[in-house]
Amino acid sequence: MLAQHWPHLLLLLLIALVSLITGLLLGSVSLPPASVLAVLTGEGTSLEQTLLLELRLPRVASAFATGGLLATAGALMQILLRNPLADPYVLGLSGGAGVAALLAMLAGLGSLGISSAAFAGALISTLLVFAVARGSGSWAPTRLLLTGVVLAAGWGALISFILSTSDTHQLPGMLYWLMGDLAQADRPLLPWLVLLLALAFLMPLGRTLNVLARGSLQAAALGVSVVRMEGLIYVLAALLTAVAVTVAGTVGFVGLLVPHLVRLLLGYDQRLLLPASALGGGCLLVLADTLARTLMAPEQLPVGVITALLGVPFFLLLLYRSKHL
Amino acid sequence: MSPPLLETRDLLLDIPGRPTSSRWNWQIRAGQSWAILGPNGAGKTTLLMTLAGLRKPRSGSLQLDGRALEKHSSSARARYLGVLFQQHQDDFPARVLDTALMGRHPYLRSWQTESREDQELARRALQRMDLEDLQERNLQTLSGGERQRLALATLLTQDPQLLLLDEPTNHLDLHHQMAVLALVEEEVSQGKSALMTLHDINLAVRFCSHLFLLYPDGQACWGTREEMLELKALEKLYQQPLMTTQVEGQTLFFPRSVRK
Repeated sequence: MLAQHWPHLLLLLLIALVSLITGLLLGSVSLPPASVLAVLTGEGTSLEQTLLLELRLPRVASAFATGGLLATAGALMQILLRNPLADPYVLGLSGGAGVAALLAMLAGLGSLGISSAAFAGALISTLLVFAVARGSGSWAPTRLLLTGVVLAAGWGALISFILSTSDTHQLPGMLYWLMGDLAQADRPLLPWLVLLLALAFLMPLGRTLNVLARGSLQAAALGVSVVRMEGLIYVLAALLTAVAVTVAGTVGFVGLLVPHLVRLLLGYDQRLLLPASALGGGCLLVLADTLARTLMAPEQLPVGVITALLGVPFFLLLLYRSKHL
Repeated sequence: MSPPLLETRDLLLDIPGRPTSSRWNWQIRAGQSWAILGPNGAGKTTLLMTLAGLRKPRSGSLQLDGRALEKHSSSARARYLGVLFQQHQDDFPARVLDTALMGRHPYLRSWQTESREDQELARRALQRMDLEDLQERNLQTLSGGERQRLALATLLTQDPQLLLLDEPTNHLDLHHQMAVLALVEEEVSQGKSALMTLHDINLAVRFCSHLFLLYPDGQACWGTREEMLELKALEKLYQQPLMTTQVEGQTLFFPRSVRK
């Protein structure tokens, strides 16, 4: 970690804290800061305690970890495929997870069953892309990308098939899951653990990733074990995305948008980009979820809708104002 | 006598459709600069990539400083061998100075960051390539020639024992062509070695001590510049009649126009 990066990360940490607090305060019922403080010190009414500690805190924490996972996975995929347009789902992972999750809903499984199915679906899709893209030849980024895109189209057709043949009363739940929804997200421990472990693992690899961004031949000539490194990135990015999908369904746009935002604002060094993406993704998803809970309260919107509605104009503006991507 | 820096043992390049006839036992020693000459498609780049350990040969092996190439760790190899590629991949933005600094990668442990000396090495390399004014720029905004010089600056920062250069004069204007080759010559005079693919016989003759002639059928011959400068051999190499002239004591080669 370079010393010059600390101020940026501290600032982002501060913003993350603010977004977390905002997420705790706001909702269908807004709490005044005083009662939040009271609950945190063990006082406050039991209604406030339930609302804050059992409903809001797990959800806000899940949102932050999920956003962090998706943004980190997106940054990794962009390096792996040497393609700035890559996002965590680019290799068909969301489709695999989606099909499995919808089938679990059809089978009438509970939220744990749906999450497990989504995780399995994501991993199956990942392995499929890996095996097919490897095929008989080498797995050049374009080949990997094409395999993923084609497979995603196949999953998309299956999802449309399931949706068009399902009962109408099941459709809203399915659509919410596909758009990304944090209403069922009440187990923040696993995503946090995975995110922190992944970041700790990635931190010493930042410079290697920088070199890898310059192409696999150049990286190999500079002493990077390219095949091992690319395999590692692939597995890690897939794992992070799979965990995120089990928490919140397929939330779009965070994984594409956040790494680019960080690049536009803070530069290209992966040693800063990865932790900054994790923090930025967390902030974005917490704020988007807060809006999803409050905009049409007591109705809740799927958070994926908000991330795109927030992200698209902001991103276009930044892109318009910057000289290069 | 110390072992050669790089040695091929019964080396056969892996080029599709190439007969398996000729195997090479070739030695590159410190202080030598080699030019690889040959027509398009003869396998010059493949040869360079194979010597760098980035491509597997069809058969045979490579010895680096007296040990099998694959016995060296990948970062140790990158301290011996540095490559200038013909194509540069610039899909991702990066600062010019940071790109040059990547040359220090094989010297640093994964948790280490570049030291002040590393920064200084990168700055000096950029200076030698006339890029010091561009060090804060994004490499995607550079011209083709500037990009080529940045790749050379990265290689200088890497500071390998053997420089493997694939068409180092690509994209460069006349002044920078001479400057780059003079700089390689200077590195070689300080005990390094260089091996470059070139299309210009006259530049090869001027800057290289040894020549490696690579024929499209997989045959090759090599030796000192003086041994190899046979008009007939060069004409056969390029399938092109040549003529020579003397300027300031140097023999210059020109293509003869072919009348039908």
